[in-house]
Amino acid sequence: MHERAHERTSPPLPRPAVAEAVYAVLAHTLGIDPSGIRPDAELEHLGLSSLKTIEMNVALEEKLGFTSPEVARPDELGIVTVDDLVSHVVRVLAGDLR
Amino acid sequence: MTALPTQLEREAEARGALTQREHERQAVAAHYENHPEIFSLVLDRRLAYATGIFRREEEDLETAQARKYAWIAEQLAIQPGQTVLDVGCGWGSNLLYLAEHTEGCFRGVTLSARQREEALARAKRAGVEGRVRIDLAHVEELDLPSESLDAVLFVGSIVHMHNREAIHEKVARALRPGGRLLISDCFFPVEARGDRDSAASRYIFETALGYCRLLHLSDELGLIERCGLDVVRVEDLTASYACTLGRWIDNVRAHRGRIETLAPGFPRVLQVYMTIARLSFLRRRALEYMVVAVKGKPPRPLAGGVQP
Repeated sequence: MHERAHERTSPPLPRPAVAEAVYAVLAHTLGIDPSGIRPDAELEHLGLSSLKTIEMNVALEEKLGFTSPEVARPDELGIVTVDDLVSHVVRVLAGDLR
Repeated sequence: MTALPTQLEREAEARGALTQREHERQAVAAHYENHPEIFSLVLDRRLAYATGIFRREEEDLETAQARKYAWIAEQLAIQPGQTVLDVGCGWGSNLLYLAEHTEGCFRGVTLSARQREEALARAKRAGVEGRVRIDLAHVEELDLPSESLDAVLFVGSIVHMHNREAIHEKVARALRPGGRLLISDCFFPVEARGDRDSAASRYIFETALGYCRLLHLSDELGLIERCGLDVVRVEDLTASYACTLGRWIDNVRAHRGRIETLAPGFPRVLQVYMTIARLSFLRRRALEYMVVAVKGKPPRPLAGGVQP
């Protein structure tokens, strides 16, 4: 069988690279130091308002080249912590979602 | 019932009418002064920067905007020689469609020199420049003789104008008997849904678009009626605007690199404000309506006319 045309030719980004990108975008969006972000920190407690969520989604799209979900609150997708967000982006980039 | 003023509206009141007019001239124009090529990559080919009319979610943007142009033309029923004013005419989308499809005489006003230039170039290309005049002006400073106009349009523009009472009075006075007023714009529901002073709201109303004041539909209709006009039609286009914004966001995504080259940082401004707006319309925290009103007796029965 031929591979389907839309399947990516380059392998998906490894999780550490995705995590680094997510931390950088999150820190920039919130105006905080990326080294101070813990994986189990809750996004809401970090100050991710609905505007910041949308800004972060667009910045992630620009950086990683995928289509972000249209949400004003990450918990609409079951994303509560920073680590949840990294896992979500890994899945999206691997083509498991959307 | 009148909405509690937003922080932005309180700031506008504190400025006073004349200073607010100058504020709108600067702050609102800034967004539209961006390169027209950017908007040609995001909007339909006539550059309507307002909702289309979608009948099905999967329709394309051109179809939805073409339906809106045709619907507006049908509602205004412009006869040969009639005079039409388009307030906030943008790059001329509705103005030029009407000029191309009727034998009326058209005047547009915009706060953006670049929009005026683009609209005039498009008028020339369409061969209608002899019947189209476009002024760089705020509607409040126009000298509009009483009973001099047959139709006035505000399509995606009246929210940029704070001083609505005075504008409605001015327009109503300038309409001839039988003259039509058409507004297509955004309103807040009377029921408080969401925080109208949130950072997300301010991002749209101030950061992205300079100045916006959304009324309740009933308050805007009240102003229209108190000026002596009869409201003859109201259409809810909230779901259509969510679809329109979805198409625009897809176009920003598709042309992000080119837009970034023309205006660094602008793709993000567009995508962020359009996403906030789309979510607001999907949740009906903001509502989009098209309103048609007539001064005196309608020139023809409008009830039961075509659906948008």
